[in-house]
Amino acid sequence: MHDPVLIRASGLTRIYEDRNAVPVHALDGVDLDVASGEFLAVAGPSGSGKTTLLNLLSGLDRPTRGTVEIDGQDITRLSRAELAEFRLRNVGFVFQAYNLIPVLTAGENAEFTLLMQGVPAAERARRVLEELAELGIEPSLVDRRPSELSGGQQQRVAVARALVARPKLVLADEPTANLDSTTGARLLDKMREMNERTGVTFLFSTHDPMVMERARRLVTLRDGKVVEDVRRS
Amino acid sequence: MSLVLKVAWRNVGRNPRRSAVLIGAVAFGVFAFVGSTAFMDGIGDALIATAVDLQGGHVQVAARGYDENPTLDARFAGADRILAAADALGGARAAAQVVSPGMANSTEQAAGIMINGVDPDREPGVTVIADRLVEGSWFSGPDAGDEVVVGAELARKLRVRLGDKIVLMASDVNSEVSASAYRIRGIYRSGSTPFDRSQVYVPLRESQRLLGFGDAVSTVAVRLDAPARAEVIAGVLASAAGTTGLEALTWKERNPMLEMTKQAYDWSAMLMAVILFAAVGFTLVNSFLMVIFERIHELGIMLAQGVKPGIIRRMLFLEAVWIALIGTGVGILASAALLARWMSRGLDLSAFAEGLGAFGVPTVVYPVIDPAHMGLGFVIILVMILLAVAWPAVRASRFEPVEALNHA
Repeated sequence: MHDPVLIRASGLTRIYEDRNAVPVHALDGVDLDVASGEFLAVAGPSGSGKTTLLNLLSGLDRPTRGTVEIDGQDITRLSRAELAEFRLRNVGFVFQAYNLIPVLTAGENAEFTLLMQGVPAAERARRVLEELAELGIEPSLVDRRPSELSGGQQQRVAVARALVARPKLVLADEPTANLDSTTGARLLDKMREMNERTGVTFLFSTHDPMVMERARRLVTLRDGKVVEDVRRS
Repeated sequence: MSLVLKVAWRNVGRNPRRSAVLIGAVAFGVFAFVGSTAFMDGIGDALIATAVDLQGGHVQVAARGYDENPTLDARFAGADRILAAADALGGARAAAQVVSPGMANSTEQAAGIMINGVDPDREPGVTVIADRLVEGSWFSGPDAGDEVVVGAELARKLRVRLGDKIVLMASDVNSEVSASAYRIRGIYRSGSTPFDRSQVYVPLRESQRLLGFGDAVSTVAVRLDAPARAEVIAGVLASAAGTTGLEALTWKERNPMLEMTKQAYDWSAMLMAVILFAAVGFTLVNSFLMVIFERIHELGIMLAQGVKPGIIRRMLFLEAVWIALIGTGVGILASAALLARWMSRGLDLSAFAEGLGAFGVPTVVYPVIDPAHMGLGFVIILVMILLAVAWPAVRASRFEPVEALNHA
């Protein structure tokens, strides 16, 4: 029995139109409900619409048709500034290539979103150190810049950055693609542990079997449509 | 330091070569602006100094109309009353003067000159000629009847030296030719070639005798410790003169063209700042467009995380401000290193003296750092730099997050 619906996507369609090319239906009428606290992977071959779905669910992109409700709020109606504020307060991102800000240290990268949220300095420092420690980032690494960290360490900092702001939803786009299998497995275990402990919803796009194995729900896309939706105990 | 300020600062160091070029461009602009403005201010001040320090002081009391038509007929008696009134003011020093056109003759040459009869005791408090003697000395006293002080250029032209005799000739008040021989007691160099070639000084009483002035004088020149009070002091002295047909004019009233010239210099300095930094601005626009092109993906990450466009703009503006501050600092240091020597010793422009002399510009220019000009200039520089960065910054803040994230 899951918690109430956090995300409700209805008839979600995204068509990319180019003047000189045939329109591409990246998503075609997808209906998807995600309950709060789920650990869900969206799988499918390249071009199936995984990233497009994540972009629409996070408010990074707007659908051609359909709606996305997060916690009952239709985010497709929000203005650009409102969407930015929505993402700041509700969504954490973990990207395939870590994407930390290169001129900031590990600690500052994690702190950045909190600063944007207007969290006081003392609380920012406390939460950042806690979150980094939670993800196994040693104190000696906190003041290092991304270029001085390994790929696995960078991705853990990226997860800390996503979680420290206490979002309702963490979207992770191929988070293990650039990691070796051991590092990737450890990171996934850590994320699942945090999902179980804090109840934050994780939504992955992946073709990594390791991610699919650990997901408690696996949604498979093909040609922009949901072709399979499997829940596991 | 706030995180946004820190990001901006660290971004300056991301591409050291590009930042060095930008800082160099700003530094060069500042260097050129400070240098040229200091010289223009120096020339402007020198023009005023020529009018004030060498001739009439800050306020001049003379017969009404003397300023437009300085003839011998426009003399007046009773200068003692004006001198006493000026002495009573405090912060003011006054000296009576007699001025007349004349001729100076040596055994070999002759030259048209202005004869200045000056009070040997009071004149050094009003004009700077006594301080600018390069040979010999100032008058021995008020009754030194055969002593004359001439400019170095006139001495060269007349081919005379210290101790030589020259004859001064002039038309007296009765239009009779009057002449006397004088021994050169001092030779001055004022810094203005035309001045040094034309102005001859004799004791006041001797000039009154030569020209048949009796006790009359041409003017009373007043020098003030606080030049800004010139208008007020002129009013006081005009009242002291009563209804004697005298007027008291400030140096600005006597030299309206000089004031306009000074204002033109002020405007040209500001125009210089705008032109210089418009050029620097184009470099900045180009570089910051490159900066945002290189950082599109990174900006996309920030936008995805909910960073507001205003923060992105602020970050780029602050990066430009850091570059502007460093460039300005380097430019100021470079110009200070260059100007320090010239500010104390002056820059000798005698090689161009003939051309400059026609404009009344002295041959030695002392660059001046005018805080108001420099302050306004730096405001213009900062505004120009921020304007230059505005377009790239606004562009960066308008990226769509998805498109920015997809940028390789």
